[in-house]
Amino acid sequence: MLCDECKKNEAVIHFTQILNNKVTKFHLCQECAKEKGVVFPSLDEALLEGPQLALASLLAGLSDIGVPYALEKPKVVRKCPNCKASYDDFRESGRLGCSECYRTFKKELLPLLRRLHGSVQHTGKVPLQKVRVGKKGKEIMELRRELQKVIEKEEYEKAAVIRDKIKELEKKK
Amino acid sequence: MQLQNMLRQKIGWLESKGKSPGIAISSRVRLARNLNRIPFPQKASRREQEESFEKIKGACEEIAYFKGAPILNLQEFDRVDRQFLLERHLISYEHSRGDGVRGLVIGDRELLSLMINEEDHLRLQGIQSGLELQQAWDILKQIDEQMDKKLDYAFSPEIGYLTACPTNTGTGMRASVLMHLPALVMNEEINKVLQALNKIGMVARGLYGEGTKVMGDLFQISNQVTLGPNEEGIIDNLERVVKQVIDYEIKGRKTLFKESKEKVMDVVYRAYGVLVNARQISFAETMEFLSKVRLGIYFDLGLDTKLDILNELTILTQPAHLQESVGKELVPSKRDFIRAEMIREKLKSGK
Repeated sequence: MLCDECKKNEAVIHFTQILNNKVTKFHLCQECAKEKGVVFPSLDEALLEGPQLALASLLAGLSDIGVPYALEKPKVVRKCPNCKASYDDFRESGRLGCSECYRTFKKELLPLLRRLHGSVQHTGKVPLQKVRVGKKGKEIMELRRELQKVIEKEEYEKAAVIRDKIKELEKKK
Repeated sequence: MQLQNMLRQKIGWLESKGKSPGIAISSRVRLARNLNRIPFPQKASRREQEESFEKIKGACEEIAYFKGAPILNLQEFDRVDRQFLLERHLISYEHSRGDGVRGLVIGDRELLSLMINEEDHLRLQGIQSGLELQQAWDILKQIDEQMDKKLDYAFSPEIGYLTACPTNTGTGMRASVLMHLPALVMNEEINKVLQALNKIGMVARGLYGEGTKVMGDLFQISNQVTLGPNEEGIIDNLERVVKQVIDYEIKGRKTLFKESKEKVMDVVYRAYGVLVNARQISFAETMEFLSKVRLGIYFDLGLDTKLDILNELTILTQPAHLQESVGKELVPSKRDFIRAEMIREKLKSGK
């Protein structure tokens, strides 16, 4: 069988893509497959992608043929620019790579932090040397601490006033 | 083996001082801190581990509290030495077994210590006898502030101190109290108490912390939540809970003594009898009997010993401590023999 793309080389990669209930069969040669961004996932990666692809990958491993899959757009694994750790690394080890990971994976980490602690607002101690927090940041943090205190005392009216002040300051940021 | 001289040093938190020392043996607060942008120890290359080690070591040498304090590079110590440090509660299990560039700084009378490159770059720990969380925190806070001036801590204004594991993010604070709860174990209320603790965001662990088993009816109760409440809030909350557990334990002890006095006395005197007579005894057994003798002191049963000695024995009879004391590695049966000898001596001399 010849390659669907170049129609010259022997097709070595055959696979079926099901997208929005439309079944498309592909037969590609090595070069064209590469050009089209067909990726050969490792088993680990595939397992994280969901059951269907994992199964494909697993079968590939068993039969030793290699069932590749094509993605609409090649998947880019987001990595922390500072330590090069990915979110999958974190999922595997339970440990983040560096302080910058918190910035890189903020979207994923915030819900996790909320589940773990029931809050995503630090109200405790602040390093003395943090110049980069800025004046406004400091003010907000002090207000948050104040907020924590009045909540503990169950003074909810005061708490509402402080909360609004924080919101206003944050908007100005 | 090179830590024998530490055997002669008094451990500051072993004296039975502070509030409720009969039930709350010691109070501990630890802070997790990291250096900004340098990969966390587990992710760091050897060179990066060395970099953080040197930075932290340099900071320790500059602050007054750690002046003259030993800064150990754990790579230079063998298995028994590391186990010895674990037994003294100066390092965690992970730190005692892990490889890479790891350090330990030991403050005055071991009341304050610092693990370098454990799970986080810094793990500062303060311990006090009895239920004295606030006191432990007051000292720790000062050291943290002094270190802060020398180091660039990883911090976010929204979510606080950034740690390798998100379970520590925020304050980075874990406060814990080592509690002796024999009555709650005997009357089988303990599981109810542990479940209740879980529901309110507290957790109970074994003698050596996370993932270790419970021995001698000793439980470490600590906070789980580190983000949201501030440090004072965490401590107040834990202290309140610990006081409740103390009340339950006292109630349990009173009922026990009222309803089965003979039984309790028998258990206590038998335990004491074994400890002053045994010729071979394992550490687990030692802990079990020390627990009963401790109870005997609480009930004032006229035993010729005191809490300080029992506290000391809890530390000294551990395997690595025995091996350091004789300066060589020993097989378990030999350890059991030396342990029994040590216990007899300590209990007889009364000091």
